[in-house]
Amino acid sequence: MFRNSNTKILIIVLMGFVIGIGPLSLPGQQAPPKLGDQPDGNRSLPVHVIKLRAEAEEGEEGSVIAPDDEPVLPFSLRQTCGECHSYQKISSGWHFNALDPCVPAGRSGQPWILVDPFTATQLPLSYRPWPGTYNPEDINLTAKKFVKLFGRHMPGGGVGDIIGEQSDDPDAVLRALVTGKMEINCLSCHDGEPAHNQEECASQLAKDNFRWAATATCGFAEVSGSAKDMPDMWDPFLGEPPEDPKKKPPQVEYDHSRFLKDNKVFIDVRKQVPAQRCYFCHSTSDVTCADHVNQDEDVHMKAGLTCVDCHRNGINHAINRSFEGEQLAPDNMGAATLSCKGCHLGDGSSAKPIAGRLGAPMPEHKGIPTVHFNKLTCTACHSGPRPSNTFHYVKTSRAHALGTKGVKKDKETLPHIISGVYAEGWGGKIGPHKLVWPAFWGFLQEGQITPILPETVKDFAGKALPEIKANLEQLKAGNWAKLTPEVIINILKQIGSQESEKGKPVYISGGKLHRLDEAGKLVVEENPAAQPYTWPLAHNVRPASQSLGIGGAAGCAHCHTPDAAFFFAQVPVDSPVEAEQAGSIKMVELQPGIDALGIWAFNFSFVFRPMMKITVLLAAGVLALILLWYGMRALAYLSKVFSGNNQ
Amino acid sequence: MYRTCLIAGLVFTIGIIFIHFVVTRGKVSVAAQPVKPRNGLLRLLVCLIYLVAFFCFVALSVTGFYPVLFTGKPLSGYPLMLHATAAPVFAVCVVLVALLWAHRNRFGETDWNSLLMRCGKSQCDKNACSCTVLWRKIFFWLMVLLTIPVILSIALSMLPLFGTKGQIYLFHMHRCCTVLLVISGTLFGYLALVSRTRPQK
Repeated sequence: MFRNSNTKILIIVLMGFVIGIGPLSLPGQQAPPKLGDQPDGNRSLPVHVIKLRAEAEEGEEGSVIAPDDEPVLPFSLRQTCGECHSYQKISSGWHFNALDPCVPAGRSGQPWILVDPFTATQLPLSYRPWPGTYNPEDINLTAKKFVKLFGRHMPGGGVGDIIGEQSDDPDAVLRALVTGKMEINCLSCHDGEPAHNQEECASQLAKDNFRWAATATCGFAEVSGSAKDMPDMWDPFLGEPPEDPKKKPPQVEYDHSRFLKDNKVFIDVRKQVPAQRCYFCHSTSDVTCADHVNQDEDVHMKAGLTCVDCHRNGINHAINRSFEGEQLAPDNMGAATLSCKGCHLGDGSSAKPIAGRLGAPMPEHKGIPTVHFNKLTCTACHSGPRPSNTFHYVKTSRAHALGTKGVKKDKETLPHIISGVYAEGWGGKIGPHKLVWPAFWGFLQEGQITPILPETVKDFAGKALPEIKANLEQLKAGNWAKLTPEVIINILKQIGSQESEKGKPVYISGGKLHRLDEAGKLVVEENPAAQPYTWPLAHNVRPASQSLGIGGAAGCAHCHTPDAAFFFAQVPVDSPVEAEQAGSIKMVELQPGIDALGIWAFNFSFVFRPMMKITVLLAAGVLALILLWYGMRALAYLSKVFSGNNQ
Repeated sequence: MYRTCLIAGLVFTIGIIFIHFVVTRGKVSVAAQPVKPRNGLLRLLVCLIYLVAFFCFVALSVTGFYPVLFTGKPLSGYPLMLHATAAPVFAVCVVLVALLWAHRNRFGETDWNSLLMRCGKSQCDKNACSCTVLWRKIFFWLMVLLTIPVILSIALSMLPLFGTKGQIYLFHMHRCCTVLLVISGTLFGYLALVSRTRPQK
């Protein structure tokens, strides 16, 4: 059959490759794109009349939901949307990939802030390794607890997709089967239906209805009952009522009129996500003018743009954050031109003009020395509150649960976020930031501080905690209880007596670390963990006429006076410790590249700057006159020479 | 590129001075000119002007060139403040030096003859037609001429007249003219020292 042995060997090797290596490469192969993963080029909006599908085992297709099913199951977005769109690809997007260690953390962003007024806790958390934040996993905050606390302002997926998976506790695993996971809720962003109620998500999470949360937010279903009340062995897919008739299992009731032929439902899916959807999680409110009467909209919005005009993404949902130096997804490289600089200034090196996208005006920056562009972000002059000597708190959707039921509307509600702080940030540039002073109890071991969860502090400290009666007003307002040195000493002693292996108990607040010395006295000292956590703010962008530096010499005075707020405003040190409450730091202390005395002297020199300008311009004028005078004389001599009359 | 040009300019200036000094051994024959002796106070004042001008020149050169030559970072902080403080003083000093030296450095018949002699078209007294004096005058007027764009390029950038591109252009103009100003100023200073004339007794 084979002419020679070499051919035999070749065929055996090839067969070996096909049989041995071929199958090994299969898992690495990318799944073929689904129907909705690749647009066909038609720019109109695809109409989504689709079948709702229930949750199913990995790799299986979920059953089609009919409104008369028994039991009526919630729809799974993984199954429903996943029929045409790759859930796997979408889940790698920025809103869902915080747990992926391979994803570059990029510029520090807004953390999740764990607050507890009673234990005076205000702790920045993030699954991304942003300096100054703590990983929830490191402080024993399980995925389930995290989602219950913060899932109200999450579009699902990420940590919501791993509920019950990390735990070694079989009860927790069983419980996860009852409550389900919080899958990506595509409708959180893409639902164009006015009846979409994202707030409902918070209500469902409070009842452990993770599986039902997405269904509850849509405009054609209602969810009642609570998974929290169900026993561990309750099966939501059988729908059997629990033994206790008072306890109501989670139930779904769909709007029958919305179901068309073959149980298809029209869902108003928007590819261009409406700004109102973004606002639910990305709102900031100034506590001094929460009624929005005095708040102006971002100029970009007023010009007709929406959030996703700049913050774009492809099917992988790697939405660009639009800051300079961002590591962009390979399929979204054009986003580099959608940062402030990219759109308004371009890169200046390309022969092909890239600036001015979407009609962005290209500023001339007349009279602004170029050094400003190296040291400041665009937002420093154009965004957020103007530098001011008075600071007040702001509230954000994610930190203060804005938009949910029962949210506290007091000005002092934790967390205390200070806005309009001009600090050095990403790329060493100064820009406006939001700031939070961390405050938490923890253990100090080998220089590292591990925070303690408020529940644990309560367990450890017991009666040593501040008196509720004495702090009733603060606690009602969601503000923290006042701490005296005596209270801190007592709590530290209580924690130390119950848990000494994890390290020395400490309390962080107001930029200081509090600990007990050998004699049991309170020691207050500096510690990097006590430094404030800052994250940049980019919106709202003010009109050019309201930017810093505008108006010639008067514009210079916005930042270059000896007492300019940009450098010398006193940023309040926020602390529950009474003795620390009057403290403050100068803004320049948050700008490590700037020497305080140097910038003061430089700003002071601006007093003489008009005089200097006049002096040097006069000097240049006199020199020009001297040149002209002697130049004319030299010309006169030459004229004489050339006319032969130089005697 | 700018750094290379700056180094080349400084090496060229020092080289020219060194060669000139070695060739002439520091002695330049210059025809004595009738110069009126100044009274004590005026002399002191003139000395003060030279001294201040010299120190400002050094301060501006060091603060301006040090970052370019050694750190590669833009001029900022205390050096920038020193630079900006010395600059207006220097501008005034240059005006005063120009007023003090302009008449002495005016181009006249002697310079024309000197030029013709260099071209081999005329003969004149070697002392009277000193090449050194001619170069001194050239460098003096170059210095005066270059001071104007050096001043204007930075003063105009402080006014809301030029956008970012204009600012960058003015900045480069300032840097380039400064190198030429330093070369011409240094050579003028050197030649003024070696060709100074004593008042006639």
